[in-house]
Amino acid sequence: MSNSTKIIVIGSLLLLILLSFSDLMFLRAGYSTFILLIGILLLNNQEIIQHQIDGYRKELDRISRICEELDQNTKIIVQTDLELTRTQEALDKRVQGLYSLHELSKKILAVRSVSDLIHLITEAVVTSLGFEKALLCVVAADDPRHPLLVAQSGFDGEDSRKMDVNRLLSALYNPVLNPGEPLFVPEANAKRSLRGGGHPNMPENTLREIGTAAGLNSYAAIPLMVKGLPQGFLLVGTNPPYPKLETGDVELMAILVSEVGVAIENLQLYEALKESYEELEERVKTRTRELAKANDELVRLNKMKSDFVSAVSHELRTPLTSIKGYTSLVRAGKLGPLTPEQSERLEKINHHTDFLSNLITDLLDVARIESGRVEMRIRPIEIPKILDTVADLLTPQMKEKDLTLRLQLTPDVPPILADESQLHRVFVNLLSNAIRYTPNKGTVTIRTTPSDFFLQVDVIDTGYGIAPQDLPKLFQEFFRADNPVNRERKGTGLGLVLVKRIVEAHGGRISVSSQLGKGSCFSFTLPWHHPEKNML
Amino acid sequence: MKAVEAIGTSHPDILIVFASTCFEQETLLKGITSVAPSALMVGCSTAGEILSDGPSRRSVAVMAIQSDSLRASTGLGLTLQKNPRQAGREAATQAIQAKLANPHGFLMFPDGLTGNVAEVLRGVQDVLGLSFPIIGGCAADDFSFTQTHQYFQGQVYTDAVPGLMLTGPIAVGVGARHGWRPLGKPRNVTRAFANVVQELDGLSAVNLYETYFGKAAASLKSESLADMSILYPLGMAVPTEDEYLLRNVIRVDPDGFLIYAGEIPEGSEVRLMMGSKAKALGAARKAAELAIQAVAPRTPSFAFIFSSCSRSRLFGRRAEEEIFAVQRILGKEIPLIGFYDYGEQAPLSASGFRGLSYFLNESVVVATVAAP
Repeated sequence: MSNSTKIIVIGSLLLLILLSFSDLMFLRAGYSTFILLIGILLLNNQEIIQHQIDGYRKELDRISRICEELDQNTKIIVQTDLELTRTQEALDKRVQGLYSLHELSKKILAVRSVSDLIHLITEAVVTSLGFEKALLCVVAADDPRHPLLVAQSGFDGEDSRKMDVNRLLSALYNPVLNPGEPLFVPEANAKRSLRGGGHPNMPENTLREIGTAAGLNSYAAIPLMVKGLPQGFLLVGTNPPYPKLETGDVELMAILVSEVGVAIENLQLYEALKESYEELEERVKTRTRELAKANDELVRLNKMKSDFVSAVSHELRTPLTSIKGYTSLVRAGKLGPLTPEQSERLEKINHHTDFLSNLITDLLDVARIESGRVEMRIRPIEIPKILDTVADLLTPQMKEKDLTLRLQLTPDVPPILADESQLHRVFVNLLSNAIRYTPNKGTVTIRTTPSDFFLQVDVIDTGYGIAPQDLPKLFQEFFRADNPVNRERKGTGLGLVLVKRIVEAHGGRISVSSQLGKGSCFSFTLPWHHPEKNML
Repeated sequence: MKAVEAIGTSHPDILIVFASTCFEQETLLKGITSVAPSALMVGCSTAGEILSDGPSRRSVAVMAIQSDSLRASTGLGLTLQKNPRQAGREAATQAIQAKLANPHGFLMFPDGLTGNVAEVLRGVQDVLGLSFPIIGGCAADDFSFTQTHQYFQGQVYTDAVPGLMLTGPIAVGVGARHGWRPLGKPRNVTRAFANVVQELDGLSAVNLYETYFGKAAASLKSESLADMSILYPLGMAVPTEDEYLLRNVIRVDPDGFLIYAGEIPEGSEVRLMMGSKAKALGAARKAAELAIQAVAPRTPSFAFIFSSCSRSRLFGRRAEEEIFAVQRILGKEIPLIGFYDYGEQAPLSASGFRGLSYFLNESVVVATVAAP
């Protein structure tokens, strides 16, 4: 009703009340007229209202229709959304499953025993892969019907007590383990036939029985194969309200189980390897102990030998000094004149006494070095300087044989840390050998080659050379190579032994190369930094 | 036990315990109380536990609180099935008998399977007032929907509601969100009793889903419908609130009645709701933001999270994303405890947290507690 109509109606009513109380006739007539007027007005309004109501009804119908249409659209949206969600869910599940599997694989690598491995797997199947229950059974290798190791997760106390793994294994042996094929039962308690599960050869009762034995409605059993042989099975499953297993789940589990198979194989290899390694190590230890014992014995014997040599040499030297003393007394003619024959014999005695004396000195040196009684005085030494004194010492002998000494020294070689007298001895020994074994008019070369860690010194001659079979024995005590010089002259066979000992005491190495008839090369090295060891 | 060690004292004031039903419940509580016999203890069984490290299943989560400022009192209501409202009143009355100053929030963990929790909530509100923040989650049992347990002072109960009043110079912030939006035509609940909806717009209630799902509905069995109602719950508009109250289907009666995880009063107007994982994650973030804004400028000392078991089912193996999303907003270092429940209680409105608390489904409730 519009506002103006309201005002008219309310005004009319007020007038009516006034008029109805009046006594005057004409007013009463007016009253009747008003009633009439109001009646007409109301009738008229009624029509307008009716018209408006019709309009509203139409509008309402229109809105209701739109609403219905929208609701129809809603159905389409909901159905599309449902489909999308299902797809998304399947995808998510797959991706998540694979991701968890990947994470699990990393953990599998760190496991070192089969028992830990199967516990890790069942725990992960329940906690990170989201299945309700999991049981992993490894059978004995020689008797696949006998469960060896069992791990389970998700079964509560009562379930585990009721669980008969032997029964499960024998029920699963023929359909799963023997052929190596997975068994998937989406719903063991379904009222309808289970043949849809794709197990035409399995009696329905068996499928239900396995479900009951494991306490699972929806389950899958996947054989665990190691090297193509059944080694156990993984049973996963759910009960409502957990969602039923799907084909994707079974595929995921199959991947997992094959990985477990590989892991078990690796573990077996690892075990075998570890065992043989331990055995080997034990053997090495025993052998080392034996060798150490033998070595100790050798060291003891060697020391005894050195002590003996040292003692004997001392005892020999005293009478030798007397012999030499008295001989020179007689030779000098202090006890009367000598015939030339006597002189010649005495000369020989003197010569042999000298030889014997040298031999004893060398023997004593070797023994001293071996018993570790020689102290080294390490100082910086300039190689050219030491070579000068050595050359001075040996010049007469070189002149005698008309030999050339060639020095090939790297300029500006820094001083080397060594014991001067010992190093002197090394050079004297090596050089006098070179001179001795080089025929007349030959050449003796001394060459130095510095490197990062040591200085290399080569003493090269153009002498007779050393036979290949003699090279390894060269640094052994009392060894004498067979050559024209040695056949003529006696030597102690201790010179190179001493040289080797001294070089090694300086932390260096000595080596030799030679060619018969062409000459020899003795090379030794001296480190720039002398090791912490100052006893020969 | 770890929790008690973590706070570095053997005398925590309060223990909050959430545990899986896979443990022998009595033994479990005995073990926990043996470590801290003098502490107040409340808690319940769950459908998954939540800790700072993320969600876990088949585990025990314990939070031990020791504070100079935070004081707490407890209350227990029994026989929810018989008289839910009275049980709520009882729990609240016991809790306020300690007469501690400055009450800030009431935590409760009712049995959602036996009684009408909306009634329990009303009972608590009868005592504490309509605008008092009531926060909590319904006890759960790992999706078995058979029997849940409530923990109170070292004892195991069922059909009960344990409550914990948080008081003192602290601040409590709450955020509760779900992320679903209404879709399609509103429908009237023409016949319903408590949480059983018999008719919508004069038609059998299950007809609603059959209409919307079309062909797929024919193959729907009751359990998968319950699953689908996670994605498409019913929503009830709440006056003055943006959020709809969600209701999940627990199961379908053979007569076509829908049994919901919360009451739907006859005469209310309901709509089908639609959501997605992304929206649900967004809602978790929003709830965390609300909870943190409410205690600002203080930073929370610790936080609770009560997330619906439906959300855990919805997120599946990615449930941790929701928890991590919340943690990113709260701060990774804030201790967090909670569980997956069978229904949540929280005030919806953010304004001053003096809004009416509701019984929610499929929501995530984040509650922060800031001690000075």
